Amino acid sequence: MGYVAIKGGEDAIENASRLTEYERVNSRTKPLEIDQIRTQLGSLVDKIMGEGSLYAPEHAALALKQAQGCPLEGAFILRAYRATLNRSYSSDIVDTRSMRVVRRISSAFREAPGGQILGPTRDYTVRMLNTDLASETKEDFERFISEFDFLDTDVLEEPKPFSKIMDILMEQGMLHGVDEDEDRRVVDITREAVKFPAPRSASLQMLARAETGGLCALAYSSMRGFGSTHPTIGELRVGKVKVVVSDRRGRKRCIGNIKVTESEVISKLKQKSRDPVPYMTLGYGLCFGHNETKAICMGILDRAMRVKDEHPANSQEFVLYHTEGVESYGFTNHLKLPHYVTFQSGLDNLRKAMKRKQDAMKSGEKPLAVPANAEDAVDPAPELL
Amino acid sequence: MIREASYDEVFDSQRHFRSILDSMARPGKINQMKDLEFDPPVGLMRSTAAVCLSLLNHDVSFYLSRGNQTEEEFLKINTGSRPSSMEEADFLIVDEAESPDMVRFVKEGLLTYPEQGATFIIQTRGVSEERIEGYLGIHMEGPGINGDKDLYVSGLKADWIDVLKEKNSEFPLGVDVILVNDAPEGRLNIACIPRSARISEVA
Amino acid sequence: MIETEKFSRSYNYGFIDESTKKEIRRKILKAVAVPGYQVPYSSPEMPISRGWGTGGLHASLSLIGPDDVFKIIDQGSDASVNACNLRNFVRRMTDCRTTFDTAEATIIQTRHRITEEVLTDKQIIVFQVPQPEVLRSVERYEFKTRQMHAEADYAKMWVSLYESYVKFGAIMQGAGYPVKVNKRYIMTPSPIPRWDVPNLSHSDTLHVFAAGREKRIHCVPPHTLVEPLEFEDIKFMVESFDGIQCSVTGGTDAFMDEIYESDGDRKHTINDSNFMDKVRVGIRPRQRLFKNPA
Repeated sequence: MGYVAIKGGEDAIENASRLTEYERVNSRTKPLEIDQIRTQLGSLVDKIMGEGSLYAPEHAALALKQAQGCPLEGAFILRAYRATLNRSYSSDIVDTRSMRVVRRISSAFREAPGGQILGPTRDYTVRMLNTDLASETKEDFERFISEFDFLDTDVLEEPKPFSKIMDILMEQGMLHGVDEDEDRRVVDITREAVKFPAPRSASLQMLARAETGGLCALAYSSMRGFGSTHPTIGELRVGKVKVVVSDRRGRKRCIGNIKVTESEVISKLKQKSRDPVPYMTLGYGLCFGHNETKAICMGILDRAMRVKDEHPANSQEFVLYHTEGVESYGFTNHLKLPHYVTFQSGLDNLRKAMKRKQDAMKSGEKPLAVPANAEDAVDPAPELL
Repeated sequence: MIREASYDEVFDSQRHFRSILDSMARPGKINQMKDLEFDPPVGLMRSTAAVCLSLLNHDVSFYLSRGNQTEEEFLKINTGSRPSSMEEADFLIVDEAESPDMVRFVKEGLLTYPEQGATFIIQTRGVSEERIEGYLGIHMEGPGINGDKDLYVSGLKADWIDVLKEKNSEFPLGVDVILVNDAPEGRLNIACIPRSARISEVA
Repeated sequence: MIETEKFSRSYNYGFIDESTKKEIRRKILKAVAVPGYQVPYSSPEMPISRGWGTGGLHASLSLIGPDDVFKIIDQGSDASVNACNLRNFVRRMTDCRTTFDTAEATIIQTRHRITEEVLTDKQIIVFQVPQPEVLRSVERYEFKTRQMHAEADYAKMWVSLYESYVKFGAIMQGAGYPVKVNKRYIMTPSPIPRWDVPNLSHSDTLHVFAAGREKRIHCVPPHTLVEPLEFEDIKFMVESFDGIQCSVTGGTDAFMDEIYESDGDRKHTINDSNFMDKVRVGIRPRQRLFKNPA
């Protein structure tokens, strides 16, 4: 039997994929090295490690190279790779008090125990396009590094445990870290589908995997007026923390250090019904790598979702489902798939509606409505496909 | 005890699952599962072991009504699953001669999450689609059944039907039942009674 | 540094790890036991985009074994680019034989269609489902729709269908027409056209619906009553292709694609590619055809 209906789909997708690759190599520029991406595009690598839900800088750099720099695609590739890895252990709880801090600030107090540590930040630079970078050489790198020769790297590496600003406020009873009625079960949304209302662990896990831009948009909405979460940054810290697991014999093993960003944002006063003294509440964010925007937005949304109000950022379902980058990226792009069967079904409805109108006009009855287009023809239960 | 090396985690479990699925989708239909190449401990039928190795892992718990240390250890090592109380268990492994009273106490799920209802694996000495004298005849109607279907089970007491009917009376809440039987010549029989089946005793 | 061997190593059979397969298999069994109910499942990432058939792959790859013959269609066609991509992936991950012949397949994965050719009790059909929640159009929150299903409270759905009738003179739902399964759960039959909906009822085949992005699996077992929602005086109607002939085969009585030529002319072809191939050579496979009420 000849397959008349089959028309070269296989060749088409193969060629489309090769063309994409052609666009990458066509310039004949020097191939990007993974190490270059990992080090010189560190912010991007950190971002997609978080969204890809896998702490693996080299793999993240490779994913970015494969994705030709598209962060959504890079995070997606990393996630898909992650899904193939066996989970051998669960780590102990990471104590961020023993973080090797490289940056730590508090907006709540002028000075903080342990000091304000500005660390690496672009916050106080003027964002003028630096044309010098266009002709940068390896020698320029060396010259710049030599200016740091005075640094004693041993001292730098020394872990400096800092007490937390939160602890001071909590000790005085002015700040409550958790809500009274909080669901404190620990669930893993990669092993079971999230159920609503979700416990805070699931909520924070989803925020940590969420797309940075999506989080930023919703957190901003809550601050700007669609909500009332305009918090104070109690503490923002960036640095490395130890990850410890217990092996099969129960011995503790440190499997390495990971860089994380942590934010603790203090939100406005709350009052318990049976206690007239108000207290401050806490929003928490923690994500892989150096990604302050994400950590702060997590903190805002963690708080906003626990406030009973009607704004988008107050709805756990709304926030968590729609900031999921890999899912929203995939589904919005799926519109490119052919939909001619479902469309045909809508056309059929529309034609029948037009015919009913004609018939009604002929017989002098008041005509019923005709949907404006085929998409509306599936109203009132819009076809969600 | 060591893990059974002759069990193919990929292909044996896939074949066994397809038999279970076919029986669950067609209540009362007896399927034959591919035999195992090892002997489970005495309290577990080969067919029970096949079902357990195919479905259980560290995400779920089991309850052995008559098992001792050896059976429990066998399931732990070969599936990663953990033993639990009757009230908590996802899978309950029982013998046909036992009283069905325990059915009343096991998980039946929530109306919002009915899939949390438990699964029974009942070890029997015989199952048949044809009438056999002395066997309990279970008449079934419902999804998966073209009209109606009778299933005959050795040794099962008639009050199982009443208890199951009661447990599954508030559909979608309820329990699902997998009946297993080691027949001669390495035939591992399996038949199912999902909670959606409307059952009664064959007159 | 990255070990390059890691990337060239072969993946597990069927790509998905065995532990996750077990979980998906348990959930499929529960979905069979509670027909039409959406069972949540873990839905790990796959190397294809969310919304492009990840759920279908989870189900197919948890079902599939070396003896299976796999067929995949998208919009009724074996040749659709996404179907080709997924077919290649499944073949690479399982070494299974693939086919275009509907009758020969043991597992058929589909997007938006049921084959015209009647399926048998030796086959399983897996639907890629974009939005499993039939009530989402009348209630946006998951925790509320779940409650509505729990209580079989479908008033909002009935009202919305009736409002459509009042406004337009008909229930305007196109594809994905809501159905009631086993007189209990209202379910979306993925978005298959109305043409296919009657074939879900009392069929010989197990239907598995998997929505990867939304992490839900639901099933319609064989020989299960599936009723499209309708009122006593407002009946469910399938798309009408009366008097329309396939321009390639001359065949009638099948779901048709409407094709516009460059000069504006309109023609039709049979949508189901394998069915069309068979009709063209004079084979008319067995079909179940639904007649619209007069």
